[in-house]
Amino acid sequence: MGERAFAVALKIPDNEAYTAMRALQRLGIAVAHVRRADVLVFNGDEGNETLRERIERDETLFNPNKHRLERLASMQPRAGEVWIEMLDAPRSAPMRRLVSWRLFGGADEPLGGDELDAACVRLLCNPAIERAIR
Amino acid sequence: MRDLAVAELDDETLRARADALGLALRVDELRGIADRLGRAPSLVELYAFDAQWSEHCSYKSSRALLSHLPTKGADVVLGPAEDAGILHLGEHEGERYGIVIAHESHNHPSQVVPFEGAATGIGGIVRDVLCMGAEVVAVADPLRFGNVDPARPHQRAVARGVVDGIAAYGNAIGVPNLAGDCYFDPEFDDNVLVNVVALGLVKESQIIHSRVPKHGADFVLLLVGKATDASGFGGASFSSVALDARETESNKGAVQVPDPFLKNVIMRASYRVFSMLRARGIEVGFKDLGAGGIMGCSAELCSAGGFGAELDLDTVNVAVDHLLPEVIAVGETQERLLWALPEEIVDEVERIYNEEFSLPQVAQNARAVRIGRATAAQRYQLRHRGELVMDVPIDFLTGTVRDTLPAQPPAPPRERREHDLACERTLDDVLHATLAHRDVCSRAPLFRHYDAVVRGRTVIPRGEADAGVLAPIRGSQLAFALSVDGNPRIGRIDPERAAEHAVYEAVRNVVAVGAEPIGLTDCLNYGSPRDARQFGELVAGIDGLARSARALGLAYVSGNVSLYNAASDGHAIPASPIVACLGRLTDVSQCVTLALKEVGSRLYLVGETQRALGGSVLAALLSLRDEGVPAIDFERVLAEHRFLLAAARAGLLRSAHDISDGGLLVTLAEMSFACYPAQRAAIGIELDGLAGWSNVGRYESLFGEWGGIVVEVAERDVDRFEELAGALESVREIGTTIPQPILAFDDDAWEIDDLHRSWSRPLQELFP
Repeated sequence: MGERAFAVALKIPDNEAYTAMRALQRLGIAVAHVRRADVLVFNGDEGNETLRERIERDETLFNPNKHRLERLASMQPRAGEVWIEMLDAPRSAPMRRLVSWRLFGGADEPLGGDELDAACVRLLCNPAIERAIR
Repeated sequence: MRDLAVAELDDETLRARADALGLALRVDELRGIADRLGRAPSLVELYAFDAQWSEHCSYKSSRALLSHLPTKGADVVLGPAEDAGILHLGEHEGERYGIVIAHESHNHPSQVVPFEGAATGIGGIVRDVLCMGAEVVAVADPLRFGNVDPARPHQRAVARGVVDGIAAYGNAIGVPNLAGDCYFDPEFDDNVLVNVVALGLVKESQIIHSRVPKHGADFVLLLVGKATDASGFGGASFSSVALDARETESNKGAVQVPDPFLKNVIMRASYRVFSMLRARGIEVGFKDLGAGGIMGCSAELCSAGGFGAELDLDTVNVAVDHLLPEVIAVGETQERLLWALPEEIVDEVERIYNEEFSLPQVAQNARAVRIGRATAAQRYQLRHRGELVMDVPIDFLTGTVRDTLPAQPPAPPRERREHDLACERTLDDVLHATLAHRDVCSRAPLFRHYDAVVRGRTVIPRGEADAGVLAPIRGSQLAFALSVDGNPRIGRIDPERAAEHAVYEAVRNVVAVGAEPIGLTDCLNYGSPRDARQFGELVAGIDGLARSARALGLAYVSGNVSLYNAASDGHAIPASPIVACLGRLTDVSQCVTLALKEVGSRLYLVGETQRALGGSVLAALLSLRDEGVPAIDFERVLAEHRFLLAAARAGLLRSAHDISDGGLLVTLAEMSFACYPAQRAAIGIELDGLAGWSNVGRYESLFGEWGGIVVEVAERDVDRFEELAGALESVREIGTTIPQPILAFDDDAWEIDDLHRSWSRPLQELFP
């Protein structure tokens, strides 16, 4: 069935996303809102429901008291979104774990390409150990 | 105004409406509120009473019992009446110093969201100490986890999350984690215990109280900290009902979100405010926002001073728009405190928080903001969007709410049984299994996640002695020792004696480092008070706590009751009284660690062996149905402790270690393990034959958990030590330290290295 991706996001206030937003603003990037999530990418034959149940059962990935789970329609980051992956993460692993950052501007519009690039370079991605997927 | 027409509804409908609103108030309580107000209570009022009358806030089931505990003593500066108690540490350069101590639980939040629950447990207890005007100097964490075998992923995730949460918060605020214990038992599978103790240093002339001062009519209520959001709404009530793991939607409102970096700044800004207030000689009130949020804190702060309060919820700094007034009033957003200040200094305090320490730059809309006033009228009033949404007599809200509940005394433990232990397993097998038991093995994999030495005042970090030791006053030899203890294996068998043993062990550990015990705190973790049998365990436990503290001449200055610790099927945890003991060292150079120091020393047992294996690790390992828990002769214990403290002050104790989980051989092995880092080689031990020091059987002597302390005395000091012991019959020589790295007894000898492997590894895979 190929690759499928799920997002695990906090449904309680996300201090880390807020801190990132403040840091980006201080770096001169016109971001008004930041959302963060873990992106779990699966490669195999399991059905989507099986994968969903697997995530929901694994407390190292998901706690229903604080997380919400969403199946991502695309294997590509959305507009204004970047996925960060550790360089040493094996690409062929049955499950890859990445971090999604979604950046929005003043009118809740996804941030444009140049500013997203700047956010990656200046804060979100350390190229010594991570790569950014756009 | 949204309200609930209580008088118009029959009991069944009223219960259903209350359930739909998420209110834990009982029907009789709802009717009592409506009767007293003489009208339909507003929703804001109902949520306020729901929090304030919860077991967590009101102690309605336990308050009468707690009055049996001793709370007065020569070293008590402030007993259990405010956010924390205070014990006298000593004098330095003409100033009297006190140690502020608070003891809380965060059990239910930690079960539901382990990381956040444990982290906010630290956050809350730190605020309790801070608001007394103290510098926070240490925390400690006693933990009770379920069965964490590899096949139990849920219990393992909870245990790891809790430890990560404690480390993440405690390390970020820069407060050393000094003490704690940890047990694993399947009966905690559905309800872990995460207790927390915090300590602060305060000059006794500079204590700030958790009440509006006598002259405080019209004092401004200044809210400080994180912007209020919907997190933690319903927390107090949530802590006062049994958990149901399936109720994730209703549980989530009670999830509290920690922000230790903001807390760090708030602490430092508050220290700055303290010094400004001292310089100006201004008396104020200061209180932590915990259960019941803004409402609970402001009502208690004003009521304790004899005042009412009026607040405008529209002035509260919020993180999101359109929050309901009950959420602003009662929600338990973390990292918040409330000042009661005279008008003339409010601007200056606001400036310190908002400008000098830039709170609004640290977290979203965090700040200091005026939200109301203390009033001479004895009403508690909240306004929202110009409307009066709460108007109740303040003494009705915060005053006495009591439940008189039936208690069934615990069944007396069955008689001690005789066991033919010799033929069941070899001594070698039992010793290795005991050392590897989860209640005995090294806790280093767990507590190495915590910073034990940050700020540079820790003298003995966790693991190097029976209690952590910290010298809080720079330039002074004064120090304190802290130990936190309680044994659920005994709690399962005999709740009353479990409480006595919790006190005995905490005190014993403090004595073992050479510190004089000066006071206690307790956290009483039990099941439902509405189950007569479970409530009977609490009654018995408090009896045990009271008796043992009186026998040892100690008082409780702070504490907490955590009830409803049971799974949704009603299965309660073992009775778990957890006791902290604070000790005083007037000369920190005299403290004693557990590592053996030299070859050729004599080892003495100070204590009496007993033929009682109930509650022991050995009984668990061998599945012995033994309910004979060791008895405690407090008169003898007191004499032993006085002798040991005199010996420590005379410099006669080279090392000391108490006998607890696993028994005497474990104690001796751990004394040998502990000298590894310093000596680079183990010092061995040759234990004398039983005939010289025990009149009970081999297994009861070697693995019984009857208390006592083993001390190492250098050969050159033996005469002085024995002379000091005088006629004390419970001091007996039991062996010597030897250069060979072995533990030898009769015909058996174990390599210390082998024993260390068994002891050091079990928790490594759980807490990598």
